[in-house]
Amino acid sequence: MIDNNSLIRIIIFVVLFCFLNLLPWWLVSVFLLAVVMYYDQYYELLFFGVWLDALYAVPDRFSISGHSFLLASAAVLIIVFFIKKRLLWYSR
Amino acid sequence: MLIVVACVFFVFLLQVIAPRLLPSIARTVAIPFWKTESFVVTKFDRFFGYFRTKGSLMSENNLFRLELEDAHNRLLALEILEKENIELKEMIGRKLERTELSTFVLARPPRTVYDTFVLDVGKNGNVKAGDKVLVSGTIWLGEIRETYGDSSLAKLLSSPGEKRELLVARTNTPVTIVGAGNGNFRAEIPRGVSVNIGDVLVPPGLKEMVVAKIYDIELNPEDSFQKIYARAPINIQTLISVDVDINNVLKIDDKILQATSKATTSKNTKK
Repeated sequence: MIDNNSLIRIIIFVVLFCFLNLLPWWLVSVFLLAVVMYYDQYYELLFFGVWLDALYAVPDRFSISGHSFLLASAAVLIIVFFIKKRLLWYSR
Repeated sequence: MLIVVACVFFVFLLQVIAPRLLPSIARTVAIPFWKTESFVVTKFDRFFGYFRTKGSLMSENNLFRLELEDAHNRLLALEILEKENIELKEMIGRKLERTELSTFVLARPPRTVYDTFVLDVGKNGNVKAGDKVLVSGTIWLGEIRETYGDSSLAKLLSSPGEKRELLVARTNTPVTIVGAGNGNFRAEIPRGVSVNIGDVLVPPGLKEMVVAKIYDIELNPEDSFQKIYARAPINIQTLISVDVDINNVLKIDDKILQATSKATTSKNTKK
């Protein structure tokens, strides 16, 4: 059985996914940042990055210009990982 | 941390092996979302209309009536000029037989990140990469870059970093504009060249098409160049439908650009 925490995490993922397809990217980014700060290792962020790139960037085989969101989400995950270690109020 | 690096590497690898795989999957999933959203927005728009007062509707109606009358009058002259323009172009051997396909915009900035439009017509509607995206047949917004079954991706001319050679319609001065995102453009031209606020930028050889209108000029006494700021004449964030020139007959004449460029340079040298 799925425990409560996992269920909430799945629901948040579904809601954010709907937001991602319907709301402006900058607004979704704010929600995503909040979720990344709340959850420990929120790897779903990478999926959202890939999704935005796949939807709106012009696919180019050998260019990284169409991967801005994937790279940004990877950078955010790494930065947040180090920031969390230094935050006194973060007890996870 | 390793997971993050591995994921990024995997996506890049997938991009090299099958560049259209992820976009196709993403589009198949996202299109029902966008279509539902447009349906709901249209319904809500109508619903809120019921709560408007008769007075405000009447004053708005009067305003629209006046604007329509003015537009009709302008259109009369424009139709004559357009006909004359086509006839003159036919005389010099350039036949313009456009086939414009009206398409619905599924996603537009600011939702789209890369200054792109997602249109609801794709390969099935004969749309192909390189076709021009127009508004009202006279405003050139962008170009189709990718086509899928029932959708296509158009990149706006104003996409950040996109460069394009245009002409200032009034003086035929060539200008290299750089996209600044969201329908905005920037350009730098020598100080002596005459440009005014309100001047229209057009593609060389296609003066009936408008790309942008200059709204600001920055002149710094220490700088030998003047900075031009221009924007598309329509609000791209509220566009519901656009036209795609599927015959792609509106080709830009590079020879005209080169000739104009030479003419302007010699004119400046003589001065």
